[in-house]
Amino acid sequence: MGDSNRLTLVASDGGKFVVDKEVVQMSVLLKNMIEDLGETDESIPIPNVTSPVLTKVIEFCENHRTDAARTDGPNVDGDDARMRTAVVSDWDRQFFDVDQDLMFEIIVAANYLDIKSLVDVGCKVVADMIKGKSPQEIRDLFDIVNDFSPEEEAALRKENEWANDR
Amino acid sequence: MTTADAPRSEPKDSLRLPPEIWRLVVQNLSREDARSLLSVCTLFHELAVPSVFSHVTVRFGLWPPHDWSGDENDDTQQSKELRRSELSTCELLFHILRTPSFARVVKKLSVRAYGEEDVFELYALKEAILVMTNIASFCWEGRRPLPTALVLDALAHSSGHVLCELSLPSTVSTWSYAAKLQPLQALTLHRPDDECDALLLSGSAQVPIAAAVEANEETLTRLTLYGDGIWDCPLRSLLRLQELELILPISLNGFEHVMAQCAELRYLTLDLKSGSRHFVRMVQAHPTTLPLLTAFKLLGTNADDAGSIALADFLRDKKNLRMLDFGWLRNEEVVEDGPEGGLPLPLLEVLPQLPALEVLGLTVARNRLTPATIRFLAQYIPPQLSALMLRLESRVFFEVNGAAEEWTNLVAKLTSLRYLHVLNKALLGDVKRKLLENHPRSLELFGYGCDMRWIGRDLSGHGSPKDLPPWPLAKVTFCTAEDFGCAEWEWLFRYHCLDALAL
Repeated sequence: MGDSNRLTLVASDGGKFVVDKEVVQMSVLLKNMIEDLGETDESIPIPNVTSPVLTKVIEFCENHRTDAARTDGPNVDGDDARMRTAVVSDWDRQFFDVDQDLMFEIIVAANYLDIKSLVDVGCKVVADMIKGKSPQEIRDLFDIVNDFSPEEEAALRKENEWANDR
Repeated sequence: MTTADAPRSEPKDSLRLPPEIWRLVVQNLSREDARSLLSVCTLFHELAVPSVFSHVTVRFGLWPPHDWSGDENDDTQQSKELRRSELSTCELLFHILRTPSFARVVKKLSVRAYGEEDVFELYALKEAILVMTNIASFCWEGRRPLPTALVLDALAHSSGHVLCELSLPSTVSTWSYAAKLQPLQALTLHRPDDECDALLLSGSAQVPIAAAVEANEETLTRLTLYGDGIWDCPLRSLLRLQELELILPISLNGFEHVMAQCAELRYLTLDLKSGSRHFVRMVQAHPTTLPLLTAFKLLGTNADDAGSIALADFLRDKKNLRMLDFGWLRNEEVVEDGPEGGLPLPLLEVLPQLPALEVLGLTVARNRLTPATIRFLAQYIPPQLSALMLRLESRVFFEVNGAAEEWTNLVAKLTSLRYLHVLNKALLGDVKRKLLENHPRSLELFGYGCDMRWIGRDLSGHGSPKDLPPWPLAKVTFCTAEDFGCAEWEWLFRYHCLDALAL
């Protein structure tokens, strides 16, 4: 019988990771799965996530394992008044200091595993990358093709005028 | 654009993130960055339209107005700009009329009226409002035209069921309409841009204001009134208020009842032309009122010793107070001996005793600012601040060596500071450059007078700061919480726009 506080996750490429249940339960998907399975020694396959990505996801969850307890308390005066006030911490920024492909794979994995805090931080980091850039700079940054027709380009110029802070 | 009506874009491999994730990314962008996304590709356009056009501004005439800006452009240039602006406004209104999906996206509609009484434009606006069925917030600013019954009736008809925020110039002609729009959560009857309308406020016929407040008493939690209209409101109609702003009331008679009865009040702003002594006497007599106070803005007061002590006593027990903005006037009679002379010491001393304080606006009004004064002030600035606005009202400053360094030292110690704004009425030499070069790493938004700019960080450059372009003047003047991305910062800057533009 293994340690009942730990379980094994199996990445899509077969990589195995023994992790504390408390850490795994930051994923709503896995938390529900564990509740459905009950006490078991079986490994849990994560078919959509490769070992390098799962390594990073686990690293994030281990670092943030106590966050939920810290934020469950009463919310003084409502966070909606503060809007985008949550800042990406230095640790989180460092965590996402990886190549863009891996960054996106981590966010997609977090979305699949339903780890809200990781999705939120990832989206903030991507938003920070966009901040202050022109449309062409954003295309270059993410390797995006401009697929507007000439007619749509003309309509865009008007939209930009309406949205302009003049 | 037709793409808003008929989504056609599938996620492309090159985008690598699914649309639902990009949608979350867009939610973390400022409006101007979301606007850049509009022109990237069709998928981003589709995702950014609801964010960019959730707030639409309809412009009548040219801003800034000719007499206001001192613009030296010749009449021909002005006429060209005016024609271009009119054409753009018409195209926008017709686009709204022709594109129901776009019309439904609009949740906040602002009208910036610096034109003439133009019947056609108002008719087009009315028609456009009739198809915008999700307007939750409606704001009218400027001079001419003023909102008409035609427009406000259309608003009630199309969006009356969702409208919860209404902001109109406080004129006799608009007061009566406000009572027809309900149920409102926020009502602002702001200072008219045109002094001719402002003069009407000294009249006595302010009963319609009370009617508007009374009609919404079940739902109204935020109220901003210019002048004395509040005193005609039955106290019962104010009991649910959580936020109250009184701008240049002539009298504060009756305010003690508001303080005593409105136990839910959390946000209080008083911009006092007169009556500051009356207010001080009130808080002196009732220092424990408004126990839930979270934000307190007091502008236009004299900072004499007795007043400072009374205000400090009033604030000391406000353990929830997170935002504080003092705009006191320089006391010409005080002799400014020593670094502390002339500063309202009791109010400074209370600042470190406010555990929740994060957002602070301070006026430093002295004839002469020396490095010793700045060092003295620095010891009272709480280190946990996330936003700081300093209004420096000094006649002599930049001749003093070392003052810029003292300011940067003061700011550098605020390691959680995310928004810093310096407003002043004196030239400060290279303070601006030094602050920009030595700000805390946490800083995100920097303002110096009307020059406001985000501090960008380049991830690949390990978070090193880079200068982003300054906000356009119109954005500084009409900025909203969306522009700041943080309601608390907008609250701090509110009512200081003229100070910013004066630099």
